[in-house]
Amino acid sequence: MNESVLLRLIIMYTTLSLVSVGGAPTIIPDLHRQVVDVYGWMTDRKFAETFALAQLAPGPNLNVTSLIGWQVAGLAGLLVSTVSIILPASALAFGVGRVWQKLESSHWFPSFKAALPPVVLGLMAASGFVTATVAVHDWLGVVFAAGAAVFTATTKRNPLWAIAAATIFAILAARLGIV
Amino acid sequence: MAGEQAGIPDNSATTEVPPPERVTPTDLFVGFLQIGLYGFGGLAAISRHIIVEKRKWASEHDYAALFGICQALPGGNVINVATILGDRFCGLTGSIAAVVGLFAAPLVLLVLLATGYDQISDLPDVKVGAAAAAAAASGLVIGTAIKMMRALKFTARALGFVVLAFVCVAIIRFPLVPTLVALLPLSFAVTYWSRSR
Repeated sequence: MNESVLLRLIIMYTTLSLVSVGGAPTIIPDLHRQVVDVYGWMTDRKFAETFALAQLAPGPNLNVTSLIGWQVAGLAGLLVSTVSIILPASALAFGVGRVWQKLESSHWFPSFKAALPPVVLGLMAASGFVTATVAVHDWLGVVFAAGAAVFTATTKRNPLWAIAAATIFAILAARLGIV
Repeated sequence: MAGEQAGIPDNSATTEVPPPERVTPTDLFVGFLQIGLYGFGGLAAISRHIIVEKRKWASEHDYAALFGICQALPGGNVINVATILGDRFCGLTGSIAAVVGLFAAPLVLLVLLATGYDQISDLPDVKVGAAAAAAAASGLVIGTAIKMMRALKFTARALGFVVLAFVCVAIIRFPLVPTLVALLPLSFAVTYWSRSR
């Protein structure tokens, strides 16, 4: 099975690499669609946990793709996924880097830059929505998701505090039999 | 590579700090290793700190321009910064050193974290805690989107594209590639047209 899985990982990630404007959040809904719905490599629960684990580790947020590769096909999956998600986009950046001063001064570049954020932020919100539908199972989950959203949107503190607080609260509540 | 750099008009009049004379691939690897290692919950802040303040690889102005372009390109913004900055100092070798440095530590930590988690994922406390962390992580992404939208002060036209992109992917569940191929040129055309009027 392994070779066909690796090949599918390569095809999936090289394609997603070229459309990953805005990084990991943009591609999460499609990643979920392919990994869970199309290929059935993971359950919803495993996908949500993988996403959360990747948030806890430092580094580029695209490392969630490496972790999915690891869980689907071990070390080979991790390496293949990491290279596939980086290479196409970085090759493009490499090319752009060599001509960027020309690009920056072209008359259409400001419009190009202004056209991106609305689409990217819509996709980022979609990504949060899709992971929420996967990760939230009860009213307490709604409270945690909403609480983390408000905390992140309104404070300048590291958003990981919200994840830590939710985790600790849930464990205490379960131990004390409150929920 | 050095020749191409020299061919580009020199903007040093606008840079406050001249970049160091000699930056080796090892310097790039170590610098981006630090960025990857210290970047919990987002790399934007730590990468500016290391590149501009600690290593002085780019001036504030230079970095802002570079970061702007890297956000507009596909791929992680700091991965793109690593690629372009690495090339600027050491060509292709520099790009590879910087990107590998950026991913090296996080990937090792991630694998350890995932392996450790698999060992204990059946414990009741861990099940409850992981479910809560996953729910909060989804809220974190939504909160980040809201924060950025508030900071950018979108026009009604821009908000229209936010809603359109959200509905296509989150509600109708269109695949990402056709959605982006349709929406990005449309957004560009509308923006360009409204600016040139």
